[in-house]
Amino acid sequence: MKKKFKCVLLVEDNEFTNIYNQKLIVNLNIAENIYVTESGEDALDFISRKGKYGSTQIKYPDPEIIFLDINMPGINGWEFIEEYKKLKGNRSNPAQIVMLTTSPNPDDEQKAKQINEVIAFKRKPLAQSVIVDILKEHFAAHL
Amino acid sequence: MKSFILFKWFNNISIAKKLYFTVGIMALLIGVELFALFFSINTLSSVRAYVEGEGLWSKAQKDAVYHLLRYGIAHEEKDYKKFKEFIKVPLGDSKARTELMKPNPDLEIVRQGYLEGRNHPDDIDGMIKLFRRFSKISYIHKAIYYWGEAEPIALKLIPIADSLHKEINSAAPSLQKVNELLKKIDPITENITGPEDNFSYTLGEGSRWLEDLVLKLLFIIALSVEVSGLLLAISVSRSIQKGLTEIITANASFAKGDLSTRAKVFSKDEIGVVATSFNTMSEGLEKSINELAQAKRKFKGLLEAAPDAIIIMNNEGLIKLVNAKVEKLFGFERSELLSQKIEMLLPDKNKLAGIKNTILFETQKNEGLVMDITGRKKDGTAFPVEVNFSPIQTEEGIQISAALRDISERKHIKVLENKNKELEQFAYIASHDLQEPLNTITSFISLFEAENKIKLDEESKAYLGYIRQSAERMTELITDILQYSRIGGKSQTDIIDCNKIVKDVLDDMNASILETKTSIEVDLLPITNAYPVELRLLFQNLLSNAIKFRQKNMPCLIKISYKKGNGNHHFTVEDNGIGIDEKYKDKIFIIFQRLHGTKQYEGTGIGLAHCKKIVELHHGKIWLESKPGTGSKFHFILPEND
Repeated sequence: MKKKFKCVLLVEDNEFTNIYNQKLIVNLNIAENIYVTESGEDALDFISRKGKYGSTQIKYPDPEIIFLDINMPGINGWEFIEEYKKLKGNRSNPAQIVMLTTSPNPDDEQKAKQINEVIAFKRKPLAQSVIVDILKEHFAAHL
Repeated sequence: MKSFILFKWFNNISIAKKLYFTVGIMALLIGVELFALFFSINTLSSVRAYVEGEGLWSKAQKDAVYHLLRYGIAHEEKDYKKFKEFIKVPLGDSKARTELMKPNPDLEIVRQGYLEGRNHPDDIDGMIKLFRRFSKISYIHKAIYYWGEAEPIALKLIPIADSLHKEINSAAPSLQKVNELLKKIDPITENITGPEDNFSYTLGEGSRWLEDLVLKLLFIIALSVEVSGLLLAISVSRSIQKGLTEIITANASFAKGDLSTRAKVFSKDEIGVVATSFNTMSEGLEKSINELAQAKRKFKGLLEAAPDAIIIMNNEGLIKLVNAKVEKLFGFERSELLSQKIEMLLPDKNKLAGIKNTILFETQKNEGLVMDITGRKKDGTAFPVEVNFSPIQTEEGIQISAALRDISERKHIKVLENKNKELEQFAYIASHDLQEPLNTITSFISLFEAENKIKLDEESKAYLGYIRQSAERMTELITDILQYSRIGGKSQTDIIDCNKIVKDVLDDMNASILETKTSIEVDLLPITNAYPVELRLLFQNLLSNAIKFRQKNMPCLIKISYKKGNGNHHFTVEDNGIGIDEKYKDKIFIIFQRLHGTKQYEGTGIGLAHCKKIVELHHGKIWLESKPGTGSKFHFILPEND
């Protein structure tokens, strides 16, 4: 029986992209919960359970995999990673990050390779096959 | 010649020595004079001694005669004794004379003789000397001769006296005999007077001659002392005066500005030393004055040669000096600017006080100051200038040099550069933002197609296909623009082995090379400083173009050559492809310019635009040499030291 992600977090300011990515993940049937945040700040709130995620009724799970857009208004992808590193300090199983970009830039790709948490650097739009490739490499049990 | 050397020597000794020398010469001459005086007095005194001697001699002879005559008459023995006593004088003198006549006289006997001749003992040495020294002088010679003549006559008395004494003392003295003997005495007395007078006369004449001689000698010596003293004094004082006059004249001429003036050095004495020092000093002065003049010329030269317009003003803002570039820049004549206020070159009078204060404040700290201000030309046109103010120390106090540069051009370029950057930024952002909706379109079309495959008819599928293809094409174009705008944007140059770059590119292209059976020849390429990613893209674009535009009916050959020259790396990428018409050789490097339809050759038409931008990023040049149907040869050069 294949494993499923307890929590997949999408960080993306474009709502259509979010709809699309969500649809792909749903179609692949690899996650129990998909959470969508529309900015870096929103995502950080989600992870640290603050702001609108600070409710005592619902306990939001820790994300196992994050699909992170680089170009966002406010906190961009890189800044999000810096903040996330500070937060995850006391976490047993930090999330793996897939960085997504509209305009692939070799410099950005090099930068991404330097960050341990980033397992993949992909160009948008995502495709099912791309996600499958990532899973094959890093989460074989989820296929 | 010798006297010349002596003169030269005298000329060159110090003034003190000259004076010592003069005084010394005088002293010597006076010494000589004294010696001559002493000698003459001695000689004269000896002459006097002889004259006295002659007196004594003749007196003794007369006394001897007198006593002999008395003896003959009175027959008293005491008269005979007296005769003996008196005759000793001529005898003594005779003894001395006889001895002195010998070639080697015994001077003791001579002295003895003179003493017996009753001469004063103090006179004797002088008499001997006179006799011996001057016996050849005519007067002395003659006197000695007369003396010799008189002497035997006088001595004839002795045998007469002896005979007389014998007769008188005989038992029976004969009066007749005595008288006969006495008669013999008279002629002797008569005969002797002549030589005696001659002797005295000759000696007197000799002594007068000697006196005369001595007087003349003394006069000559005294005269020579005076003359030589005078001459030396004149010579010394004249040489001093000459030297001093020369120095004073030279000094005056030098002071008047004739820097080449030098004082003649006449001697090596103190005056000569002063003249030499003056010359050394004036030489030094001339040198420094010339250096100063040269420095001034150099400064003027530099001022004119400077790339900037240069104004030198005093701390009150009065223009003191300008170069030709200032005239050119502002349109004023030099004469219109000098001694004028700097304000005439600045349009904004209000800002001036502030600028002036800042300049004065900064320059007082001895630091330079660079400002961009607005200048005003003669015709009133305002233009931007960059001014570099620096303080300069001059003999008139601190002045300010202002180097001005018209920066209208630079400002213009700056504006263009900024616009260009903005454009690139715009292209980047625009294409990024365009990409997102396109992504959405393509992604949802894919999703739509996947989820509605069965429901859609063929026509709808085709339409969706067109939409998707168009969106994809647009994505490609936008990606290319993005890439184009990003070239050289952030990366840095590095030392790159072009051989490795080309090898990597060929490795990446391996599949297509194999597929098209392309053979590639590569020269040994250089190692150079370049942008690695961009250079790689350059080779990749040129090689993929060469393969893409190959001739279908023949094997594709590509050659990458390299040569070095004029400080450039010169690369060529040559192929045997379809070639490009000469008229397109510029157009092909423009972004999105294509020569073929997308159906014939895919691509956006950005590859060569990329190449051009990359080469220009390296400050190089790219161009094409080609003939349709035979192939293309792309040249590009990259500066070696870039």
